[in-house]
Amino acid sequence: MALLKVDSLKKYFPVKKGFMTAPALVKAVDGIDLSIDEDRVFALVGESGCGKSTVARLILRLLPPTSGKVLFQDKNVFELSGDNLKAFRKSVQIIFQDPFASLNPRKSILDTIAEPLRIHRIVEKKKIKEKVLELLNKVGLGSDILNRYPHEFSGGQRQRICIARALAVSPKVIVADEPLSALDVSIQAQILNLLQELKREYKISFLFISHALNIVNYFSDAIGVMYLGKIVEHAKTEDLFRKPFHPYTEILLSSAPTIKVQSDELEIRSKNVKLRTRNLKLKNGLGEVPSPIDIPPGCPFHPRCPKRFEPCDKVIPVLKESGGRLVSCHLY
Amino acid sequence: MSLLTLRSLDISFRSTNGSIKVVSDLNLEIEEAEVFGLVGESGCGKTLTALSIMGILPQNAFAEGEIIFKGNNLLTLDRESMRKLRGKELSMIFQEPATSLNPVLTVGYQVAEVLTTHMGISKKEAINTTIELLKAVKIPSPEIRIKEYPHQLSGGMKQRVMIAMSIACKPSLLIADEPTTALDVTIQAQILELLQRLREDMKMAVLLITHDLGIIAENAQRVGIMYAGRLMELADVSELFNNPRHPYTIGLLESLPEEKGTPLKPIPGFVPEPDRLPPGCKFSDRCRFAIPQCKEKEPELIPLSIASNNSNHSSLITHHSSLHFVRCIRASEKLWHF
Ligand SMILES: Nc1ncnc2c1ncn2[C@@H]1O[C@H](COP(=O)(O)OP(=O)(O)OP(=O)(O)O)[C@@H](O)[C@H]1O
Ligand SMILES: Nc1ncnc2c1ncn2[C@@H]1O[C@H](COP(=O)(O)OP(=O)(O)OP(=O)(O)O)[C@@H](O)[C@H]1O
Ligand code: SF4
Ligand SMILES: [Mg+2]
Ligand SMILES: [Mg+2]
Repeated sequence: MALLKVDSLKKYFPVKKGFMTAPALVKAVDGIDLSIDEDRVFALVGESGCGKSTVARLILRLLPPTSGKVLFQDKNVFELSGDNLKAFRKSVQIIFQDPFASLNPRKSILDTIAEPLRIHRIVEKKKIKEKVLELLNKVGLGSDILNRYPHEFSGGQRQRICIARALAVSPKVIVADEPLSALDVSIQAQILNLLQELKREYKISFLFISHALNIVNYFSDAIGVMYLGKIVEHAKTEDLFRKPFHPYTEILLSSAPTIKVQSDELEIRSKNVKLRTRNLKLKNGLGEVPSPIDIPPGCPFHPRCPKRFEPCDKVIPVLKESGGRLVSCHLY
Repeated sequence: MSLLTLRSLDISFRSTNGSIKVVSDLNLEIEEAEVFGLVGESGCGKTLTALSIMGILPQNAFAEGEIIFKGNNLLTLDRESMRKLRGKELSMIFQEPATSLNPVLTVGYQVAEVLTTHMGISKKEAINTTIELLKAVKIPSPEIRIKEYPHQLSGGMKQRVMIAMSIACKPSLLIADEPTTALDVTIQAQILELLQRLREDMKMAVLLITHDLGIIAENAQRVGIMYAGRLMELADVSELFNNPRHPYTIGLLESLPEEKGTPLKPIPGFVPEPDRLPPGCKFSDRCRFAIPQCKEKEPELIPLSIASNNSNHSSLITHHSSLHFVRCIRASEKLWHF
């Protein structure tokens, strides 16, 4: 059974166009379905501005939807109140994209992490400090930082404080919006190992939003590829990386930077150091990013698609099953 | 002469019991039109180094040594001259864009203001240039977006607004602190290409701070690897990735995710607080190649050729080694093979 389910979710934001004209709409999230089972990692990837963080905020009930539902353990989260809402707030935690903005600058680190422990009565009062230390330890921060404030840390240290705070209440689902991008690769690896351990031990599920495709590939079970507010391909991680179906996914996967060193005399043969370079042809052919205020007709990707053909600029493709996955493209 | 020279740069925080040094004896040079990559452990002092060049360290921090930019030592420059330099000759893309933009002003106003202040152009021209700049950083519908406030933009859009602001005045040195972490790979590729173009056309130099080794490999000419406030290794990009010599660099390369299902291999342990660093080599407590001598005296950052001459491994000297600096007593041994 799905622990978390998103059903036809939409979020439109009005934006001013000019002084006299009626406001336009940013279709940030435009009809999304997804479901995450217990102990699974669902990754959401896609171009900057395609609506990933908005999906995250809708799931957490930090924004009201324009329409659609989010179901947690079969209950619509937008209808929760009282104790049910409190239980939901404990069960579903978020790690925000911008760690600094999500920390209260006037709260010490001890108070920041102790707060959820107090609110949800996770441990006895006198054990709070001990628990905070244990959490900080897990993310590689020491006891001497308890009385310091968020501005006194580096970007990566702040991100780890946010991760410790999310772990404090032993959630069932963690929505992680770019949780590792501020961290160096060694700490990334340590945190990924930690998240995997937590997943195994406590059966935590993740909605994992990330631009780092190698990490997505490593950590997730299934992937939704978003483009202008919609999921255009939905597949098992291994299937997607083995063979992307949607032309956008194909471009996305071939655009990742890799370590390739131009060297005549030394050849690198390493599992760590991949030898692919970016696919330059595709990269240059990608063209202008369309606006979510003015979504192209037909397939929203058609102005940039190297494979577009007859129907693409007129007919909107629907997300449908093809070869064990979902894809919205006229080619399939 | 190089564009920027850091000479014996130390950065410290004042605290109740004396001061704590977080960046120690940093020496490096950045040439005109060069992309210099700076990589290192979270908390090792990369952002502070950048802030010290910009002259905007936090109140409780201070820098010692020399920061020479176009012949002037910035650490002795008066406030007013420094202010003029900042934004025009020197600019910075901040690591956390959301908090570096003013939440109560529209993003268009904020970019245009940089232009009117430093370029002395009219408001109207500034608005047109702003739209051009936002287009250059791939923000769709820029005419509409300039009227929006930061909270109405996605994380990556805010980051691109910061980038637009920082290149608005065509600086000679751009400090880019994790400039593309919030961006997907396709836009990332386009932004990096834009920076490369500015570098070629205007001879702009870039100090590129990032955790992404792939981005370094593709964009930088030289790389410095920092650990605990010190440069541990400094080399050409191809030399560094082909022939890494410092165990910390080796650890970073080994931490990259490999195949699914195989556990990751991070460097064990965590970086100690600046006031609790081990004696001798600062990496020695986490280094799997450490030998007892490592704890005795801190190694200096020396050219690999010299390190190799002093030992009996001289056969390992390559023609690159004069450009390759390492801070490790075992630098001359090839500790790692692909
Ligand atoms: N509060 C808001 N008011 C108006 N527009 C908004 C608001 N929040 C988000 N948007 C718009 O919704 C769209 C999607 O934004 P979102 O933050 O979800 O993107 P994202 O996929 O997370 O991008 P990134 O990878 O850059 O973080 C963008 O066009 C953004 O400008
Ligand atoms: N205002 C401050 N007061 C006290 N200590 C500080 C302050 N700002 C930073 N530090 C400390 O200085 C050290 C270096 O911080 P810096 O921000 O330069 O790290 P960084 O290399 O940029 O790391 P990251 O990759 O995580 O951004 C850290 O240990 C941090 O805790
Ligand atoms: S529907 Fe057409 S335009 Fe859209 S992705 Fe498929 S081939 Fe390209
Ligand atoms: Mg986002
Ligand atoms: Mg930093």
